[in-house]
Amino acid sequence: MTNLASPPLASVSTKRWPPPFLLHPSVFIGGLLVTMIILVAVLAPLLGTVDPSRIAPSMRLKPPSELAWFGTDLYGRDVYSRAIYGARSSILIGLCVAAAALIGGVAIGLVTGYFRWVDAVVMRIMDGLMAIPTFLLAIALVSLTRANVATVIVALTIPEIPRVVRLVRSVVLTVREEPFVEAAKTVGTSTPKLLWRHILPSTTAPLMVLGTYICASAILIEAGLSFLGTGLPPEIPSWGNMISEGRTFFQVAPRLVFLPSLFLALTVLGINLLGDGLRDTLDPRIAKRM
Amino acid sequence: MKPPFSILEISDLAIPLPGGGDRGFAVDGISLSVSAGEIVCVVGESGSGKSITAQAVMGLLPKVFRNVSGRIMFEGKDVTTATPAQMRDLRGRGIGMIFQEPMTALNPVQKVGEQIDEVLRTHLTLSRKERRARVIAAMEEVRLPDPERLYHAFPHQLSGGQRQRVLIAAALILKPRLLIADEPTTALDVTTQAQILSQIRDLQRDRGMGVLFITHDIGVVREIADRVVVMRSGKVVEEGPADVVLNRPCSDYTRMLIDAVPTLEPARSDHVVTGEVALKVEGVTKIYHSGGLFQGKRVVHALQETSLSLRRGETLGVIGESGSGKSTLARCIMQLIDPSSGKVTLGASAGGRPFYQRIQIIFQDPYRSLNPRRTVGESIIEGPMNFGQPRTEAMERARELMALVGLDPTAVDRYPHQFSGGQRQRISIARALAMEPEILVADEAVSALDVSVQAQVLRLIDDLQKRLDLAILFITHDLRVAAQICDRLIVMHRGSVVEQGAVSSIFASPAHAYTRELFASIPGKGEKQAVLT
Repeated sequence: MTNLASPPLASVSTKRWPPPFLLHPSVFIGGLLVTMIILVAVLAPLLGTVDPSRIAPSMRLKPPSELAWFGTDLYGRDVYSRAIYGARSSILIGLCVAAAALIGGVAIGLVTGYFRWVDAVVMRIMDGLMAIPTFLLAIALVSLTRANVATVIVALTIPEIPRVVRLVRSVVLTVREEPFVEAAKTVGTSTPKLLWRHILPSTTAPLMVLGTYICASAILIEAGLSFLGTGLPPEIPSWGNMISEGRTFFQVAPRLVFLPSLFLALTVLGINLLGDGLRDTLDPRIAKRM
Repeated sequence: MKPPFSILEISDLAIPLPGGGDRGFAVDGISLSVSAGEIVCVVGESGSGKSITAQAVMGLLPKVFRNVSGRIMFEGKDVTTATPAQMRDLRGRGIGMIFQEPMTALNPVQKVGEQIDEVLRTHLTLSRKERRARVIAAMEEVRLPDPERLYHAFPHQLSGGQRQRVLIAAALILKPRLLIADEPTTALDVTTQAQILSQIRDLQRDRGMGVLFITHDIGVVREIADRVVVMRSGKVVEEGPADVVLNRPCSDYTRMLIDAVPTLEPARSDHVVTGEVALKVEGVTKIYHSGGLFQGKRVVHALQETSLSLRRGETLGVIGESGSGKSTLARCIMQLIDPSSGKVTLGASAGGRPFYQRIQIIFQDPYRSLNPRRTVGESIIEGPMNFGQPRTEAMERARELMALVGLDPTAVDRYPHQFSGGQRQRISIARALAMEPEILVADEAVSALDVSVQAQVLRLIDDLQKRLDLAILFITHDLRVAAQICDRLIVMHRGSVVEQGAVSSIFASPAHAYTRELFASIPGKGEKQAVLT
């Protein structure tokens, strides 16, 4: 055998760094964009910003100057600072929605895929949820309560869960028939352990990809909700709010719409590139087809 | 009786493997030829390069193989330099090919008649009526029953043997001068295999075409070959007339291959079983219902009223072809599915050990029965840890077990993909033994392995049984394997037991018609005894 010489801790030594998928062009570019946006969000106070909510009536709709690099808005707030801080809410909502949808979807998907009798009931509920457009469902859910970051996250998570459930369920349905799963059953492995150890790991690659899409879609929908005025309250800086407020003055000061739109576009582009790249590298079958 | 001219002449063919492989060349400078009217068998174990050679002849090599050198001359023209258009014309018209798995080689959503017709449409300009007549004639020639009706059948409606016949009809409809058959009977039951082999033989004689027949099965070689080419690791080890190679092999490897094929001589005729009863199966039946609300209900009797008993130290063979219910029986016994009626009881146990500590199973496919994401050590210790053994102790035991099944104990930290098929099957055995079972169910445990590896694993199982006083239920379709390891046999056919008894008595005088047919279908039987070693 050729690999007798490998060190005992083969599990560690077989991992390569950087893992080959990081070198894929879209993963690299998308990852770079996303990392930059996250850094911007985290380091917002250090990037020459002022308090994004400070209202200065005397400074209304001022053009760009040394004090306000992208000028000020209707209430004299610094556009640049608001756009930078807006990254915080967008990223927070995107990540939280993706994480919550994945966790919830995986839990439901594992159970429905493995226990056939649960499947019939739960999947009909999921079908029902999927029949309603994500955006409408989110508006309906937000309008039930007072909008704040938490309720927006919940409202965006619920419509995304069925997609995760379907994906996980389909993987579980194929993996549960694999001989190694039956082999695990015959050594007395309990069902929860079976799901966790032998079935869940097969779902990670497709879930990583789906997670990025959910994240991007959540950021877009949040911006849409805020634009319509049903999203985050106006005192929280968000790109959707800014575009919505700036729309009225688009003729006079297009920069009010331009800056947040640019941030939004770059963020969603970055996340989608990352997702596409991950899909290509993690699922060689699709990659070959393209 | 050297036939007049060679249709296919391969000389110094070398196909480099893309980087990272365990050897530099998939095919390493081989030369062979096929003449009109002869069947040349290329025989070798997995990884010997035999299928790659066939793909090269057809111009179907995957793109990763580049820098092919050497020449492949088909009727005096070099195939390696042919343009894609020339190759397309050659396939079907000059060279026909059939594959191992007839289900995947056919398009599942197209009628089989149309799939045969496609060859005619591609190569000839004939009217619809003429084409149809030729397709029906071709289907009759391969003895497909009722061709007019089967023309409109879909692949899933045919049996495995019928599907392979459809493929043969499609491959031969344009009367090619060369037929390449890549393990065409490996996926078929023995009785079907015997029919297909005789059919290929007949067609070849009628038409005087050359056949390049690729197989791993020395028995099949005995049945069909005029000349034999033995390959190993991409090189030709030995070549010559079948009679010479099979009966007076001059290379050690060929001799090893031939000797590794088990004889039909029952090996355990003097083995006396005195152990207590370990497993009792009484009247187990499994019925599947399908259809429902809108269609008529269909009932499938997968297993009918099956009873057996198994003693410590005894190996009971369950023989049957696909669909005979033997795997259903194993799954009922292992409680992986619930029987519709009947019951399975284990013998009296010392200390009331749980079910899965007393009975363990080894699966057929060593590539899928180990979790690819877990190290083999983790797979082995999973069972003992489920029953409360501490991790370090279980790991220590796993190392002992690895040594017991003939593997390096330090390899417990590796992943399944780092092992060969035979090694993985040893790991599966180690995992089963980690539970210290009294009963071992082996479901086609050696069927996916090369003969040389198969012999080793059989020896291992035999040895372990003696050491640990195991009761073994050995499920197989291979009578040769059964002869080596079993004390008693149960023959199953369409879900029921048709015959049972001691191996020696069943082999000496099979009583049931089906058992006799099974024996008659074993490829290459009877000649084995003539081998001089």
